[in-house]
Amino acid sequence: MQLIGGTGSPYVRKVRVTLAELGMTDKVELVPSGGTPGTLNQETSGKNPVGKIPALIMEDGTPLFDSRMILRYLNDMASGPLYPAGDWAMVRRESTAEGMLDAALILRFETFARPEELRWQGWIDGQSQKVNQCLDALNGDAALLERIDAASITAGCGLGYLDFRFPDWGWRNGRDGLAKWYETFAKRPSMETTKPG
Amino acid sequence: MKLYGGASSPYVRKCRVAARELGVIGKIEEKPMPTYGADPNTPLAGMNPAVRVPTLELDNGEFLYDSRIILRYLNESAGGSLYPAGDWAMQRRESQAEGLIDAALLIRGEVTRPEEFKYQGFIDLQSKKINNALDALEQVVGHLGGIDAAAIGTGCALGYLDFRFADWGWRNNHPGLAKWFEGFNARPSMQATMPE
Repeated sequence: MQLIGGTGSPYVRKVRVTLAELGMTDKVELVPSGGTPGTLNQETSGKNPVGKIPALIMEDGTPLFDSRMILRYLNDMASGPLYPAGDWAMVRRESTAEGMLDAALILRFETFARPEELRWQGWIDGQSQKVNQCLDALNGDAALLERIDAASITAGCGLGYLDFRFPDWGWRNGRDGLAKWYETFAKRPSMETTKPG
Repeated sequence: MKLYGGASSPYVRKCRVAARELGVIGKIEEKPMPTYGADPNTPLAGMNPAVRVPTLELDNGEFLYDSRIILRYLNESAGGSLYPAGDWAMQRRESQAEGLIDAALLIRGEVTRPEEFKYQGFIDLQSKKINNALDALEQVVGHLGGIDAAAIGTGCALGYLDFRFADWGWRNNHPGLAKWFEGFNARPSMQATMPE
């Protein structure tokens, strides 16, 4: 299989961490998408019409996207433990972490890819607040992140992204539980070998 | 259960359509909530830290989000057939429809910005994504025959284009999709949830 996507994307990282945790890294070749925020890569978009990365090209040649669906697919394939049946509280934590990631990516677009004169502080403030609210919620659930599942992988990649693109955010301040959890989680081989760059 | 979200949101509509198709709408109280949640003081923030609709409150007081998760939950609790096991091609179609909705909402967000901050390049990019997604859905329209997560996502995506972008003309180059939507849109679940 092929995984299309660059190493700067936290959504791609979620898939790479998942592959490592499920022991499937050698089954998938990473193909850089060459995408930058705000452009539509022709080759990628041919495989995924909405032009999002990651896209997983399955063994039959057909693509699967987005990252949450790819996680489910890989977990299914490996009969893995990432989505325990009926555990909707875990799925809610995954959505919270994903919501944080989405808001952070929107911020990245707003403060990097958008022409400077068209940036809107009100929008930046609103998305920043979402990131912080999601961080607070995850901090409250930090003890539940100890298990390796879709929520902990997404939270780990989300926090790694904040450190990568928003190193001055100070997300650890006042969130001791989450900070402590991440310190350990970030040392897992799956995280160490997929650092954004 | 309580489903929070306004009648204009296509993500909310997906859940409302699914609840009707699954026959569980009688168990759900539909609670309108402003859709475009820039207001940080919305009560929604206490239910969903990402401040998005739809949010589903379960009978045990837990909250679930976003729409795709709610669809899975409703489907599982009703023993429904919206997500046939192992049917990844269906889920790809669902993702295509979802990508269309995402791009349309991004355009909607852009055009409702203060005039001085609008960015045409972004609108052009998202428009291209919508057209690409329409082309892709046109290719697989033959698979939209049943009632599954992909059909519901596609129906709500096209309904949203008609609602917010009535001049898009998506039917012009997508005759198969237009024909399919004519039939799907006549379903009671769609008729009862028209955006407003």
